[in-house]
This record gives sequence, C-alpha cells and structure tokens, in this order.
Amino acid sequence: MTLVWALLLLLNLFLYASSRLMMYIRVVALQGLLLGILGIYQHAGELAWSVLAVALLSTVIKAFLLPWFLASTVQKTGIRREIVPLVGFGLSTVIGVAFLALALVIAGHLDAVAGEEAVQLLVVAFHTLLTGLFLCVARAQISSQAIGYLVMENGVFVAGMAFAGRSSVVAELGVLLDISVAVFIMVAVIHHVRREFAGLDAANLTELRD
Amino acid sequence: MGWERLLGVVVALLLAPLLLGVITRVKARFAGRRGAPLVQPYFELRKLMAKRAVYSRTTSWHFQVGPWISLSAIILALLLVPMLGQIAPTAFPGDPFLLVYLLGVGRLFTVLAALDTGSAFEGMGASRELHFAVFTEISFFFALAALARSTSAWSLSGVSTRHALLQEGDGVLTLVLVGVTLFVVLLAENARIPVDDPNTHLELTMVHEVMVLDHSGPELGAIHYGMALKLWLFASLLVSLVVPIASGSVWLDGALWLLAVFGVGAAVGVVESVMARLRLLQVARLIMGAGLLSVTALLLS
Repeated sequence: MTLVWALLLLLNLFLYASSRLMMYIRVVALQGLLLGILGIYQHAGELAWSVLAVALLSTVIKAFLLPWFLASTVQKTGIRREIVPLVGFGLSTVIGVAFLALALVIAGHLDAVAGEEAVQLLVVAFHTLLTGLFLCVARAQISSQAIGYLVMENGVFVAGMAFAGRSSVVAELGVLLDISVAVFIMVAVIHHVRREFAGLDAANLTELRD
Repeated sequence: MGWERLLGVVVALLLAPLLLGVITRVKARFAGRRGAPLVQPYFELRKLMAKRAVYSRTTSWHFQVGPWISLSAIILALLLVPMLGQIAPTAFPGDPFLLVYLLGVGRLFTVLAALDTGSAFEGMGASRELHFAVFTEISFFFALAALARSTSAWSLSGVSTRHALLQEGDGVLTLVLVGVTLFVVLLAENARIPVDDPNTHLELTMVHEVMVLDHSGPELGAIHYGMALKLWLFASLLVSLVVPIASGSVWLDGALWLLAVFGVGAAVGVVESVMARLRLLQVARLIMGAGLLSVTALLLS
C-alpha cells in the first residue's frame, strides 16, 4: 500500500510540473484508478457486494468516463497547453513540495482523531486537496481549473476514506452524481467561453459581454 | 588504513575509460552500428599522451596546470567513495561535503583554464557549466540528506554499510527517489545527453566540450581521463548508495558491484540513444525537479 500511497503523491507533484492538459487528465484518471484500488483494499476483509459495486462504479466514472469526456473537450477546444500560467512551473513544483511538508504537519496533528494508520492516507488527502486548489488558483486556463476541481474531489475522497473507514453507499453515490454533473456543467461553460472569447484564459471573464 | 581498501581506487583508475567504451558501444548498438572497440578510450588516451601540447600565445600558466589540478581533485575525491561493496579508504562524518567541493575545485580549474584562453566560446561554456553546477550541487546534497536521515549515517561509507535499514517499507521509496536524483546528477555532472552532448562542441551544445576546445596533447588526455574518472565516481556513488548488494561473499559482492556500475553505464547509453538534448532553460528545471524528488524522500523518511 505504501507503493500506491507514494505513487499518488508523485502524481500530485507531476501535476505541478507539467504544462500539458492531456497529461493532467491522464494523471487524474490514474489517480481515480489508484483510489479505486485503495478503496477496495480498505474493505478487503468484509467485501460487501454493494460496496464493491459502488467502488467499481466510482472507479469507472472517475478513471475513465470523466477523463475521457474532458479529454474530448480539450481536443475540441484545441487548447492543449498551459502557456503562461500565473505561477511558473519551476516555482509551482517547489510550492508542491512545500505543500507536502504542510500536509505532513497537518496530518501529524490529526493522528489522535484519525488513528495511526490513517495518517498516511491523510497526508495524501491534504496534499491532493492542496494540489487541486493550487491548480484552480494558479493556472490560467479554465480547462486546467476544471481538472483542478477533479483533483480536489479526489483529495476529499481520500480524506473520507481516512476518517470514516467505510462511508455509506448512498453518500458515495451522491458525491459521484455531484462531480459528474459538475464536470458536465464545466464542460458546457468551457465551450461557451471558448465561443465568446476565442480562448480559455480565465482573465477574460472579468470582461462583461452578453 | 587497510591497503585492501585502496583496491577500489586502483580498479577505478584502471577501468574508468572502459565505462565510456561501454556507453559508446550501447549507443552504437542502438543506432544499428557495430561500434568502436570497448577499449577505444584507452587508445585515444595513449595517442593524446604521446602528442605534444600546443599553447596559444594569449594563455598563461593557468591554462597549462588547470587540467592536471582538475584530474588530481577528481582522484582525491575517489578516495572518499565506497567502491566494490567495501567502505572507502577515507570516511568521516560530513565527507559528502568534501567530495562535492573537491569536484568543485576540479570544476573551478577547468573553468579558469577555459577563461584563460580569452575565447568568447569558452567563456560561454564556462558560464553554462557553472550555471548547471549550482543546481546539481543542491540536488546532490538533498539526495545525501535524505539517505543520511533515513540511515542516521553521516558519511558516504556509513550510508553504504547501513543500507540494509532501507530495504523494507518506506525505505524502498527513499532509495528509488534518491536513485532518480543521483542518476540525473550523474548525467548533468558528466555532460551527458539530456543536459549536454559529449560528442560535439557546436554552438547549440556549448557546455563542457567547448570549455576544453583549446586544450591539446597530454592536457586534453588529462581532461578526458578526468571525465572518465568522474563518470566512474558518480556511477559508483549511485551503485554503492542506492543498489542493495549483499551476497555475503566479499568477492561476489565486488563482482556484482562492478556489474552494476557497468549497468549504470549501459543505462546512460540507453538514455542518450532515446532522448534529445533539452533546451538550456529546461535543464535547470530537470535538475531541480530531480532534486525535489529527494526533498520528497527527505520529508517522507
């Protein structure tokens, strides 16, 4: 499990350093897949059927469906790279490592609440959350910001895993529905912005237009 | 000091050019050629040593002593490196710093000799070499810090003997991350392909090769030999610090260790065959990125 845990952290760090939207999407898809594995592993003892079904469904949606949808959007808009992000890629990576330190500190303080074994998960959870937040704030393209939102959601998912151990099937289905709808709306917005402004720079949105 | 510990240094002095030969052979095989004999670097060194040096009238004594001082600094640095699965001839807490700064002294004199020629080309090469060095040194220290923290050993030999501590659980992660850092540092320090092209001194790749453009004869031989030793030094560090070798028998350990060093050489050859050189601005990003992996290892250990 340390392997999955380390891989998730390294994928996060990769998100800070890369400029290609397709790479972002691949990383998010891989994260979804790893989270699915992690989820099933957590319940390995008493694998109830409904839990397995939800885990599989969420993996399919997060690792294949939403990434595929975002990827086709990126292909259609034709904007495939972050060219001038608000924070440069070198500095971003340094910030990413600083966030890792921060996540370690936060998770270290929470070991009494969550229990010793959950601390590793919490490190991943906070780092993924911060990574998603950072992508939303520091990348100029709306499509990267949408991907940042998905990354944040992955972080919340891990945090839930750390705290609850097993969450109710209904809650998980609800979250899944939420992110799917959110991604559909964001893709619609991306297409609209693209049509109106001939670009996806979020700075455009300060202009008022019909 | 036991004399048998010097065996590693003697082996390094003898076999270092062969490592270059292995890299060239791997690259040739990748390109579908048969390639030069493995001992070609020895022939070239012998040829250079037999030649007479030519000095430009603008140069001073710096230019003549630079290569020899660099070579001596690298040989001294070799004394600190654990080799053949044994500990190094000299080891004390903090010796990584001495190692890095001995290499720094070597670099300083190569750069001074390059600047002494008064050629703009060589000045540019020198500037770039120093620019990369800033990043490789930091990354190297972070890699060492991560290893030192997880083994609580503060010398290179100490880390290599407490290696067993790292082979379970999170230690494996540290080894992998530090290994990547050290490999990138090896490529950068030895002017290999994604950072610099060892085969050319054209304008686009004016880094290490262009610095030594004006040297000739035995001095050029000293520089080439020094580069071979430096490559061997970094390959040894990578193997001794990161690759777990513990078969129980001293001889088998030594043989496996040698095999691993030549494996590193083959890996360098593969990287050189499948990658293009990076743009100058991206080199710093590559080396810093590799260093940050070690910072990650340091944080997680």
